[in-house]
Amino acid sequence: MMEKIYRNLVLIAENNYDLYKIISLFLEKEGFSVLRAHNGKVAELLLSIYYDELAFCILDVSLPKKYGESVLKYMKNEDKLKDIPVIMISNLKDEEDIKSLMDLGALAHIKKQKSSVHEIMNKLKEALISSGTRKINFKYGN
Amino acid sequence: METDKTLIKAKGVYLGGAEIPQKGGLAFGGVDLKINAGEFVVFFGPAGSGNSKMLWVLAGLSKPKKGEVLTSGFRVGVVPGSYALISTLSVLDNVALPLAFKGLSRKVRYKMAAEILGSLGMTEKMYDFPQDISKKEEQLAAIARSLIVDPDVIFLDDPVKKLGLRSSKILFDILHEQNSKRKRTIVVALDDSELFYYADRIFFFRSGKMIKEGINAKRPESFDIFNEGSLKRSNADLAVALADNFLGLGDADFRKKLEDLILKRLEGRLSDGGLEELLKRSQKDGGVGLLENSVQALLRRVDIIFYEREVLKKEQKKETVDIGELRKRVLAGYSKKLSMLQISRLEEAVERFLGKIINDKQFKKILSLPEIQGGIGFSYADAKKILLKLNSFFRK
Repeated sequence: MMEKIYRNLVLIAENNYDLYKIISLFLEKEGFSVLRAHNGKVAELLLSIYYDELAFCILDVSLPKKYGESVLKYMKNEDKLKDIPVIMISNLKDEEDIKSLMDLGALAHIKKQKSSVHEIMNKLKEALISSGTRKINFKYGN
Repeated sequence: METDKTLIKAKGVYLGGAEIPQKGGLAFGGVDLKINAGEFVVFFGPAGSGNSKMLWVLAGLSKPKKGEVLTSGFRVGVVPGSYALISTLSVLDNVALPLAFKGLSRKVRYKMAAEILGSLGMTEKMYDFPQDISKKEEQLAAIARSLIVDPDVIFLDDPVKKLGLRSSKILFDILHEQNSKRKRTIVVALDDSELFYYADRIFFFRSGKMIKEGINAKRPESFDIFNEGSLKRSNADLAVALADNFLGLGDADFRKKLEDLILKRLEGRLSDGGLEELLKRSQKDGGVGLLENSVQALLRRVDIIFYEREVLKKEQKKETVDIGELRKRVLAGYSKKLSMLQISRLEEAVERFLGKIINDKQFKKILSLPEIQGGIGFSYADAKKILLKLNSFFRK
């Protein structure tokens, strides 16, 4: 029987270093390995290299050089990238803006504003569990 | 920084380790790469991608299962990810330790260690123990320990894992200095793109293979060229710097093409319109294929260089300086009215200052002394401002 391959790599495209560190610590504890892109262009470059190892991708909306929204659009237009689950992080207040992000194909949206680290982590966990991505935290060659 | 001197050459290095099943068979394959003397290289990849492993292999601390690593003989400094300081020894003892194996006397060892720690701003923490200092200081101590053997190459395995952004940048500034001023080769394994900025080349690792090589065009040296003024620089240097400013991570070929075009324009072999057309033309048709905005921005930069050169030429032709005009420019923004006596004294002071008869300090003194004592009667702060302005006019 062919062995099922689980992916355990996460791309975090986040220009806030502290938030990236916190998210990466959480994910590493959960058994993921993490890559960071500090701007939208690098995020696209890393996506093109590591696309078939990615479990999911966390994108900040306000990335330098290229907005997270544009990166998301780019991902959804590329055959090899469109199935990677994307979790957006932003300071957006307007529900309509958030809805338009979800319409573009984001799996979930996390508000940075006025959220404690704990809340962000909980939302991240929820999104992972609901998408089934969380199950990836398995040993190899099950 | 590009040199022709190859320092390390890896041929078909097969990175052993866990055999993780992947789509294309086993995870680890042969890696070929070259590192030149004086380069700043990043091995980028997530945990388990083989980037750290490759670093250890090149440093000679790990043996590849297959393949070979050829080196041209150099001293190696290694900074492991866990810093590996000995907790029962003080920072100074830790740093001085490698010299003990060289048979140097205790006095010499401590003197050298203290010097290196001092250069990294660690003098105050010299006698502390590793558990009593911060993560950043631990990292600096580990770097000091690697520097004490006067290495040609420094290998660092994920040096920023435990650091915040500010500490990371300080650390990379230190590495950059070691690279640019001391001509040391730096090899770093990383999983964060923020620090690409410092590197000459970036190797991307995936599943034990090196799958892409990127050239970082925005490395700090290229920014310095603009800081020092475009006038003293050669056309070739300017072309490299300009091309750097408009490319992020790019192909070497593509970058070369852009550099050539800019150089042609700077040397007058290509017209403004010609450059614009070639920049816009797609790569398929032999152009560069830049976007409209980038093309316009690039053309503006080239224009500025031409403009600056023209201004400089005019300034060089002027042999005498009009002191009256200069006085007006120096006083621009100064609201109080000056008496005739003050004006004549100021002009005299400016003339003497430009003739190097008086220095900065004496100039400020004349300006700030009361009129009755032979000065002009400016406040000290105003005198300082005027001196600054005057200096700024003649800096070029």
